Amino acid sequence: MGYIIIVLIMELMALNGQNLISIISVIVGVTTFLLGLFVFLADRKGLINQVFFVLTLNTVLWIGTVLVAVSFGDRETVLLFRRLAFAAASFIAFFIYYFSYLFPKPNEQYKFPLLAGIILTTLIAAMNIFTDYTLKDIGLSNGVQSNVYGPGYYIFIIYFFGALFVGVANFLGKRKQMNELELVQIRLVLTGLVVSGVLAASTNLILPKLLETYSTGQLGPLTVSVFIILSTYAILRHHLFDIGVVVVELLTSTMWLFILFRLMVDNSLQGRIMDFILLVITIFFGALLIRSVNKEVKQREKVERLANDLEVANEKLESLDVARREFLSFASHQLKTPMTVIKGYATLATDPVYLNSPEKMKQIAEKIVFSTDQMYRLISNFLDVRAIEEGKMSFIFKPTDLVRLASSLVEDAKSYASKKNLKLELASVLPSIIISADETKLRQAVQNLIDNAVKYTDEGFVRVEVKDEKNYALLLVTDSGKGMSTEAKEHLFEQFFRDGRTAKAQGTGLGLYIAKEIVKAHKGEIWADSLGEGKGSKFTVKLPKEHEGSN
Amino acid sequence: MTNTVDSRPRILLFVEDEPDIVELYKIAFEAEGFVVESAVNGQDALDKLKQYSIEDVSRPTVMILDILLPDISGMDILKEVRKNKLFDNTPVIMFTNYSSDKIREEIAQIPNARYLLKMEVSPAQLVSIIKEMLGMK
Repeated sequence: MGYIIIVLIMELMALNGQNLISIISVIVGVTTFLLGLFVFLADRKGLINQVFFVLTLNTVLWIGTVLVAVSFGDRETVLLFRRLAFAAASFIAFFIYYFSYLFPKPNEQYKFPLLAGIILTTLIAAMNIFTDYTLKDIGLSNGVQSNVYGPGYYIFIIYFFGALFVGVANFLGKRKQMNELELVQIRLVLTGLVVSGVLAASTNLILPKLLETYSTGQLGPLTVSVFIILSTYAILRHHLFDIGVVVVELLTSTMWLFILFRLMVDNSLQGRIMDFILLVITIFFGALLIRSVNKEVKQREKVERLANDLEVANEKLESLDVARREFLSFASHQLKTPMTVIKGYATLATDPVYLNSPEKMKQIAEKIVFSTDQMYRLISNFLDVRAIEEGKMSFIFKPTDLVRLASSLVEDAKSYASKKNLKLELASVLPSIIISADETKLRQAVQNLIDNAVKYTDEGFVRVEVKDEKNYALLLVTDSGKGMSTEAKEHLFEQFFRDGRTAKAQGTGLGLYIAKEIVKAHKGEIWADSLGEGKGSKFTVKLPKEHEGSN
Repeated sequence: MTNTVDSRPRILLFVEDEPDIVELYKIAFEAEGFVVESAVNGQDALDKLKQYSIEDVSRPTVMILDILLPDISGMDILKEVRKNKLFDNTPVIMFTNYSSDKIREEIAQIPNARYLLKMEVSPAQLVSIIKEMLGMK
């Protein structure tokens, strides 16, 4: 690559000064155009890409008008094209401002005055082209060509530097929200825009007025190269617009085409052999370069994805950890209640009033037994929840008669129900319905539903129904009890949920959560219905007769 | 000094959501001659407090409050109690299994209020603390 650059420079130096500048201007113009084109093609719908492309187009236009104005001799053409150059520069200023608003993300502080900006820019451009306020005339004194400016000149200066200034302010204002990569990109692009803008303004706007000659004007296009170089660097090294790979591929292809062209055009055999060797070398290294750039991009994307996944996983772990700690703390607290009761009755038992009454002692003993059972239930539930959360709850599915299971649970609940004077009944059309289930676990879930129904019903009935639905079996527990609000229904199956208004303590708050997990493990569904508080409830369990995991 | 017997029954307000606990301590309170009025949650307790503000109704002379209730905190009920002129110096015992230094501090700032942990105080001990706070023998 280095060899090519040296050869190019030597050939360019062979040309005279004027032509050299013009040729370089053309190269800068073409490169600017290609740069804008690549960016546009990378994302045709992206507003930033579109604005950047228009900015480059205006720049190319400006370079073109300056070139024409330099190449031609007659006053009319020169005047016209220099005025066109001013117009193009007006739009350059506007689009620099627009670009600074959009890149890398639109400013949040205000909405871009698109319409107002376009109108203002068009007015100023029109002033430049169609009136003589800006550029009054081309003067010729002592063989030195110079511009004669009007009052519009100062308006244009204010406008141009104003736009540039606001553009810089936009960029600087966004720094806080930008990540490292975007900051680097901004710095490069901003420097390019400002340096090129200020240099071009100096060579084409300020110096011609101060020195009273336009001779510096032809250097204008060259100043754009600063912007091109810095932008290209940002594209290749800092993922600007993410077109790095495309640009590398195109640059290397261009280089190959160029050498190929020279090969075909060269007259000497020695030259041709040199060119051929050069072609082979550059194809080899070019291909390696493209491959390595591609690999780098893919690596970076992979790392980004992994970093993201890691963050998500971490958040999940943290919230699980928090949940576990809260569970532990609440669970431990709940155990204190039955313990308090046991200790309390035990201390009562030491009082002679009770010691001397076998009747009272019996009652105390029963209370202690009851609370001990409650503690046992609490601890079993806690262990069940831990097992569920660690995925260690095991199920052994066997053919189970759902009707028999329901009827045995109803039998067990009869004495509790009759103490509250409730009607408790089982309804089933079929004498038996076989499903694949873990009998012990399913029993636990259904028992919880029936116990809840009896507990929360003070008068009326509790009805347990078992239905057959071809591939499914349904089990319903309906009661005429306290019912639940819509709010409660939403949280019913969550851990430790207790509806503040209708809940009775004494439960573990975990029964429904465990029941739901058991039903889920059976590949079934469970849900609750209620017409409202005080209007009873209905719990439905839907279980498939066969499912994967069953024998 | 002659013993004057107060003919009106002494009322004790017990705010506690666990019925087993209510039953346990009620035995001890009633054995001591207290009439126990209980509330099972915060709303229930606040409603009762409103009722006590009505003219000519019997009011509790001591209150036992749980802290972890299903709907609101017992500490909020304590604040409501003290806001009420009738109860601004009524003995209150915050009776809970929830051990917290922060709450201990808060209660220490309130006159005639104590913080007791259920597991550490048997029914008999609670009764004697109540008697102490009421200046009874």
